[in-house]
Amino acid sequence: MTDAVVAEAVQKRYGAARVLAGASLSLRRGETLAVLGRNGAGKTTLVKILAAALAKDAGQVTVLGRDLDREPAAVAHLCGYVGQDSERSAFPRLTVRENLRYFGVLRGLRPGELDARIALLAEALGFGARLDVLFGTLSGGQKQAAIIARALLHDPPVVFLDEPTKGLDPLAAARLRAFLRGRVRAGLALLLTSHVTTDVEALADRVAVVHQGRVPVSGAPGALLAALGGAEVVEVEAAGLTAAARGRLAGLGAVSRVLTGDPTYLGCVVREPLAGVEAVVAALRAEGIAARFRQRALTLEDAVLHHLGAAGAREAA
Amino acid sequence: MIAPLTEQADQAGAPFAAPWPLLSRPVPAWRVLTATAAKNLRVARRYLPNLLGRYAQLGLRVAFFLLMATVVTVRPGAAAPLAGRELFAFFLAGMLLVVFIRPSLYAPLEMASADLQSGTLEYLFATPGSRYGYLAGAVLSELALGLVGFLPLFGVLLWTARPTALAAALMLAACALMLVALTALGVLMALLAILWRQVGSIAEVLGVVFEMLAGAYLPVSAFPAAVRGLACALPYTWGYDLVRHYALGERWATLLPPWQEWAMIAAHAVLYTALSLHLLRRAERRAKQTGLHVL
Repeated sequence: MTDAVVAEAVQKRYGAARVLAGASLSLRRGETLAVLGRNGAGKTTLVKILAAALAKDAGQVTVLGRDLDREPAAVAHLCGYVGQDSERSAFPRLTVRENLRYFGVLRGLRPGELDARIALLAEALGFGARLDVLFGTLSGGQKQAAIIARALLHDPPVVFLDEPTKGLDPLAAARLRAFLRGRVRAGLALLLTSHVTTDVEALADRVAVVHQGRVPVSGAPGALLAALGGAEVVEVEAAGLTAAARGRLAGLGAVSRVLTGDPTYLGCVVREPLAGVEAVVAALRAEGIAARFRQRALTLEDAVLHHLGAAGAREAA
Repeated sequence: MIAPLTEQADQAGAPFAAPWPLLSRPVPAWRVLTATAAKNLRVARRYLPNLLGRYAQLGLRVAFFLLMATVVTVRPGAAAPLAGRELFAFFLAGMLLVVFIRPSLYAPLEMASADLQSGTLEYLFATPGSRYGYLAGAVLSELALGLVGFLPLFGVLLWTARPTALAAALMLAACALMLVALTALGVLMALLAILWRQVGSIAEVLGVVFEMLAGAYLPVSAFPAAVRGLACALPYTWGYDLVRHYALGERWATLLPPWQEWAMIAAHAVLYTALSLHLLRRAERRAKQTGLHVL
């Protein structure tokens, strides 16, 4: 695969606050990269910079080989962008079709191809019946779908979506995911941020975790999961999960990782499902702790939280 | 399966690799301008009461100046005093341009402010479209709406002042040339919003000062020398002066010989357009340091 987007050592400050401290990532053609991280980690700032909606302080960004600083117009032709909380970013007293036509004209689409693209996207994203109503009268989810259609109107080869399914109902979200998967198969380079694990699991070929303005962890979801050393989690709920008890669990051969929780909760990633549960139960009994147990599959969310914790510990060190 | 690379070339002829032919193409600024003006006119039509209110406001102003003309005498510098019908023509000549000036100054600013709040400006400034065309489109739509007020006013002025056909045509030409400068000033006002977000009160002050200084309601020749100097920096001053010259003929003494006033308007139009284009690029760069979506 060819690199579609390369960001190197991107830095950004808002006054005294350092938001990005040398974030680097790459996105290939025909790939979906999910950018994850806690609130305030710098995801949205990074996406805005890649989409040329915000200026960076330092670093370099190239899109399909075009340098964002030297050829901003060429880069703008290549990209589609949906910002966070941008569901109001169209004209409320124009219909959806009038809005899309206007934005399509600004992109240089010809009337015939513009109408064809509007029809295709409205059908794919499920708002075909609402094309001729005023944008301002749409529900939040319908507005979001129309805004996403605007970003895809010119069929860009690179798309940045910041929390695209926020506000969409499950059916609309599934439609969007199906449409995007099809375009990615055809060669689209898609970068998205999301707190919705369904989106990430359904779409992401790779995940980049942003933490304190950097991207300390990135890789395929499978690789991030595999790094935890097991496929199952034994959740433990108990009053008074002491440090000693946590330490004992972490030392068990059947447990590959203890996922941090609060004083009454933790999760143990176990190497073997049955043997793992037995070992965890026995260890807590030995500590005299009465607990409730639940076994479930390891999720990408577990992996991200774990890697965020590890990144935080490395930062602290 | 990934589609093969499609070798394409941008407008400069440089090749780049994209998986399919691009639909996004360079759009001339005039196309952005007309599309934006058409969009704004469509929206204005859907806020009909506001549109009607604006024409009612204009009608009230005309009525006020008609009343003023019956009770006031104006002594424009060395020329003979103006009163009655001639004074009404003096005010009407001012009103002709006020119809365009106020909304055209504020429309791009209001549009930029609203688009900052909604996130539309962030989106637009991440596209390759002409920013000048977009902001100037707000002026063009205001000029189109202003024509509805301008044409009857112009008719009343012709009836009141009885200029020759040539003078009437020159009046229209002076207005048209001034509108180019007006567009640039409107874009400059919008830059204030892009840079400083909430600038409605500053814009209001500037608008009123511009109107007063340029002689919309009082002859510039009656101002102190220092104020006259400031007035000379505004294109409106020369527009008002020329329109009054062609409306009132020998009854109106221009500040400069007419051909020089024409040159002044043209120079202002070029200067302000160049300045607004230059500052727009700088303002975008600066605004993108802090972001263009005010939540």
